[in-house]
Amino acid sequence: MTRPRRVLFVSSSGGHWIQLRRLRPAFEDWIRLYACTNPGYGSTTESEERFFAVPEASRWNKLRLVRQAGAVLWILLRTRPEVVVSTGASPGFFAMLFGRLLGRKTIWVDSIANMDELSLSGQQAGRFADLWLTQWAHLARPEGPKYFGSVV
Amino acid sequence: MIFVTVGSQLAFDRLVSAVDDWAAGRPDVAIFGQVGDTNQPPVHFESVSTMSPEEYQRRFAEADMVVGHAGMGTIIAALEQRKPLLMLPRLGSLKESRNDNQVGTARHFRSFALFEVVESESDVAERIDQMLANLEGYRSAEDSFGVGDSLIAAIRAFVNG
Repeated sequence: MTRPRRVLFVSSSGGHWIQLRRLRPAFEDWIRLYACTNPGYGSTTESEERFFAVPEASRWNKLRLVRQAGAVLWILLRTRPEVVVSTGASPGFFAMLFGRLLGRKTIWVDSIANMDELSLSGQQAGRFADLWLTQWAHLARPEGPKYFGSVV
Repeated sequence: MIFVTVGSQLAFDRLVSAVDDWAAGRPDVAIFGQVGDTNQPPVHFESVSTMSPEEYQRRFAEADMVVGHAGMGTIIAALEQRKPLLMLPRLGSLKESRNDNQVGTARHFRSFALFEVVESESDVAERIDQMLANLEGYRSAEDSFGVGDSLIAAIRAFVNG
């Protein structure tokens, strides 16, 4: 018997989270783990899914960013996912950075809300994402991000 | 019931006060609001600053129509629950959000049958009246809404390849 594969989804709250949840069909038979800044979302995941809360942070509060980065790293070390997926924002950036350093497969799907240019976190996460995607065809570039469609 | 939502903790008083003004003349219509951290909560309808995801889904389900910002969380919830949604995009220039993302989002989604977009808060009242008069029409709206198979296929191919 093969051991089920593990994927960790990471995002901030709101639209990022809702888009992240719509990527589940790509990981149907996997053990699905989630990390989000809104602890209240834990009750909305399915019973076989596991949820971890991470601290909120903004790019203007360095201490909180450090704590958030530490929490994301800790969850990665503890859960040992094979694949890490994010739609944004700063927790997702840290997930790409540490995921890459730990040799995990990293996937960034930039939020569909960014139709004029890639999100700031998405631009920064690009170099750590093994699969770097935008949800807008006109934002795709030969060197990445790539476009394969959207969550709506 | 009309559900008003600003989607996050970040207030959006321009939208909420426009609905509040409209509500003053329509005491017959039940309204509930999720209005963020604001110093100017509405006086003509009940509201909370934030709510749990469960309560958010419940309020959405109970609503005949929704008035909100042009955020992806609100848009996806409206599509999932097939609710008519009136959107006023937040503007970066008014510090209602970091940038003008929502203007682009609203421009893209205004072609959906369930969605209406106003660019100015002064148009909110008139558009709510129009939408309430046409609730039956929205029931037959058939906006296509599924996760793009190509996106899921690309992710599957990547993790298996």
